[in-house]
Amino acid sequence: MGLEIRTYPLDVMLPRGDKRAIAAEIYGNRFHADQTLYEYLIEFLLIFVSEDTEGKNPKKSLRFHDPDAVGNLYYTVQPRMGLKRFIFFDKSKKNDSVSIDKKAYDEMMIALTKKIEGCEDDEKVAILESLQDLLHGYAVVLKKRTWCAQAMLPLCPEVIFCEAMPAKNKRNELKWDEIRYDEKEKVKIDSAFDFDKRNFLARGGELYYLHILQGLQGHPEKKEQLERLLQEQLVEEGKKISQIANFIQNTWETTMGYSDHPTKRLGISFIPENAYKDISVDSVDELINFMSCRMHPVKKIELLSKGVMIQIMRMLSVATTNYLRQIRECWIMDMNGSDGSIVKKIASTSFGNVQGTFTTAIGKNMKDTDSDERLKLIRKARKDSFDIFKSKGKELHCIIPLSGPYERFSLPEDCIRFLVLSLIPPQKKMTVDMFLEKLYEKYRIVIGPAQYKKVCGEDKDMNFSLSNSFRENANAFQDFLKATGFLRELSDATSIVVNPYEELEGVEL
Amino acid sequence: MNEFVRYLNGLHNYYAQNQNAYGERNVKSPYYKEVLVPIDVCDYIIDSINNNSPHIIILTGHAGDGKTSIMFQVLEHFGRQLDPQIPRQNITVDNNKEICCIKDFSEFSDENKLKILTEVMEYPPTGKYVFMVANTGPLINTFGNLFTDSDDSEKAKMALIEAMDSNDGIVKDIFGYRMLVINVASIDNVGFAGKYLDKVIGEKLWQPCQECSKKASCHILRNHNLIKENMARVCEFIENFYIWQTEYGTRLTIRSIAEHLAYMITGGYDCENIIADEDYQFKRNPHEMLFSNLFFGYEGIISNPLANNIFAVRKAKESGIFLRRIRADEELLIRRNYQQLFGRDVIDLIEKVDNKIKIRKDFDDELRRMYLFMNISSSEQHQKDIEDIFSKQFIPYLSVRNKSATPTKNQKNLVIDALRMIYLGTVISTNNMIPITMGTEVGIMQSVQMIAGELNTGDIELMSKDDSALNKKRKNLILKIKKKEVCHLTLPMVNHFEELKNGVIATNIDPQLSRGIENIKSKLLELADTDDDQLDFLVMDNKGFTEESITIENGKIVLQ
Repeated sequence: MGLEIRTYPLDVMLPRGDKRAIAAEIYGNRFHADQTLYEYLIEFLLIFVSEDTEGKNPKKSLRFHDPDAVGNLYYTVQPRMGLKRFIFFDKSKKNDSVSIDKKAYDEMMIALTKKIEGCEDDEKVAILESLQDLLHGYAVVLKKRTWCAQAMLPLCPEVIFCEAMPAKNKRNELKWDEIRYDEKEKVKIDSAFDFDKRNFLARGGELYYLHILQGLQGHPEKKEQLERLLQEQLVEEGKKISQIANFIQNTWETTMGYSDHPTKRLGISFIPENAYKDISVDSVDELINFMSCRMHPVKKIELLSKGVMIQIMRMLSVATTNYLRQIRECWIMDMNGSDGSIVKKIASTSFGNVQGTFTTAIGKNMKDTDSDERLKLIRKARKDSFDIFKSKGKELHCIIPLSGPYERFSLPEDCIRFLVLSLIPPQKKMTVDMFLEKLYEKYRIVIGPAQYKKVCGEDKDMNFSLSNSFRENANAFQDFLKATGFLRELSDATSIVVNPYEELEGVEL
Repeated sequence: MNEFVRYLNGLHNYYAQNQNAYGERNVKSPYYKEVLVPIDVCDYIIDSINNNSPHIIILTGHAGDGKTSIMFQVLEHFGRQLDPQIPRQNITVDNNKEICCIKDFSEFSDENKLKILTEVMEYPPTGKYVFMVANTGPLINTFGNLFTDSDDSEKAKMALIEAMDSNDGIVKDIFGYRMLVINVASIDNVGFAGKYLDKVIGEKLWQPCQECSKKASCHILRNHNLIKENMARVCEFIENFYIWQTEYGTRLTIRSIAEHLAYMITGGYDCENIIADEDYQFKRNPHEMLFSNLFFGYEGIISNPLANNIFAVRKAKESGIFLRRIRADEELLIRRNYQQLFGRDVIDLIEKVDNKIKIRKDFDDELRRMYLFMNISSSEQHQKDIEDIFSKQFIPYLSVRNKSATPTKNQKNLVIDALRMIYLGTVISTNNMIPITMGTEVGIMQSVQMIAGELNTGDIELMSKDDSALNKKRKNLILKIKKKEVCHLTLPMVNHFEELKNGVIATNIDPQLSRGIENIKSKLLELADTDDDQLDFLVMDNKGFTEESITIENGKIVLQ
């Protein structure tokens, strides 16, 4: 089955005869279930920090591509395997490591030791260990992965690593003594990995990048502003980590005598032109608001990773209904979590509806396929769409419970925090009613009775008479906002939601 | 029969029927003036009318915050009275100043609201003042509807919201209209409780009781007498308790406070209930209806679910403050040394308690409730009691908050210790510097942390500052670093600092606290002294921490 859709960017080469075609047609190429929460942000930022000098759509480092570019987009990554080895190799399980990496690691440690002055040998080792502990302390994806597939919090450009899979067979053939001083071959020590398997940086962050890029079309001032905000976060706030990372990688490259930084050029795929278009400017504005808040840089990146995931969940949901040409589905939030409450039941039904819509969309064009193949394809498509929506939702705790019946939407602290900071510019405020309306308008999130009544107008299955049950739900939400310091009461009838953070200087809209 | 008791019972909601509770009803009562407590903000409004050219004064706030009462008090100052039945009246005061008074803007239909607001907004340029009481929601919406352009409407609403939130007491131009917006909800009202109680206890109001046949056994009169006898302790505890509640997020309105105090005295009983009941004195042991129990929604050792109808009582009960262990427990609950702790009347009451009750654990809690209001401990012991009941930091915090005291050295040291605990995990330090680290909150515990900058403890300063022009009696405790304001330290935060200092590790801290601390951390990162050329780390191990400094130059690391 081939794809016949208009893509963004225009005129991208489409994958052929791919099993992923169903999901790709709806969501773009592609979302993949194995990508972890942090890896969406990492992949997005990886493209942003990388440059591409070849081809007809060049991009500078720490800039976006031209949003109006036509044809495939590319980015060139520096895998920085020396640095990655320094951070992860010694602290991950050894049984699957290849001997050449052990040798490379040892050689790097010797080289680094030689670069330390002003102390005894044992102190030198202690300093290196401290640096390793420091960087490893920011690790976010370890799991049971081998050292080269692990990931760090994206605090500065140098530690936003591309995916590297071990390519064991290829690496097992490499003999340290044979290639160490071979001018042509030695680079394989760092390049004989699979950088393009897309198992973990599986293009999900790429789709998000395209989504944001699409939202920047026709808004050069927003592009400029977002670039500056991301640069501020990654370059200014992360400069000390950058310094260490560069020292390690440069020492390694000098030791190895590489003539140039090892790089790898990667291609960006596509999103269906109209899948996310109607929310793309919203995503950009929200991202700008959030990035404009002056907050602790580490906390900011942690929150951002969750925020990006919420936006991706919205993308998935919107693309599904757009594909079916239906109105956007609402997410009815249960903010109380109490047993037997009416809202809990309605929220659970609403979640069931969302799930049903995903299934309908996936099955839509499959009627002519034979049943066995059809089932397989549907299962795969579901895995790469709804299952991501659900599992990431559960990881964020915005779909509860973790296991068991009555699955439904809810909003935990960090998600609320991201929503407040992204929907309200720094230092600005609005009434709770306005904020609830904004959540509905931007995310179709239903918390209070007013929004539920609107849903009832659109959905015949919803019972208008139950709208009062949402009053308590809205109160619980309000209490939560109050507890997190985002809410101030003007009176018992009116409260305001405030983004209390100051705006980063020099980046005003 | 004492009609005042009926008035008091009309204030609270015990039987869900509080006829005097609403502003306009209350002001008509003959007792209203007897118990009237002047509110400071009235002077502010009077000044504004006297000294500013015509403008619109809007009083807004929670239902029950005393807005109607404020309006009546202001007009009374000008020697005018408002007819509670007429929603909109023109009144002329000194110097022929004309004021259009709107008693409650929310009472009008939506259509009329817009009509009236459109009309009165044009008054100031014609030389007429407008003084209106308005609930926030209808006012914001109607104000927005004055503008046809939807963008303007939204902006106008935001401007009004901003004025309500800042509550700075300044007459300002809000989208073309000269307005003074006063939000009573953010004005501190805990001082009201003591003054109000003082009026309520006033001897004149209780004279009819002296003629009553049940005066010896009436719990209402007994409560009156006991409160009067222990007035200083009672008022102090109540005010401290309300401050504590406010600081932890439960602010009571004036109406709620009046309800609470009225119920605390009567327990919902009218004189008729007592007089008509011949067996009244045999039905209840005198200790049961003590005001110290009623305040927390108890009758004796039994929690009374009906009392939960009264918001303030329910909150007091939920606070469980009388369950806290205090150092005085030893004398009170173990040695039962009542002679040292209570006056004669209280001791008599305790002696009359049934022995079966006395041995119950719940009675210990009841004794503690009595102790909170009616102990006669020395001032030294009393200080300890406050520390135990509220917190160690409560007294110094209160001195700044209410008495404009300069923050103490101990308070500053507490902040320093807490910061050391946050960044270093220990309060021990050999120098004046606090390293500001770039830690993460997720994933692996970081044994080595990057020091983003250092903070000299000499740069840390605490000061007190007016909450707002309208709220001058309340001061905030402000943390300043390098002369820059970092944040307002709230009581929960100061208490959390005390726990941090003492090594109490709270795993599940209040989100407001975590945001507060995160805010401090982010500001410190900005203000700390940084050395761009040097890289400093904090290396933690089970023995403590060490600091390491390196520089990276010309491809080499040099240990500093």
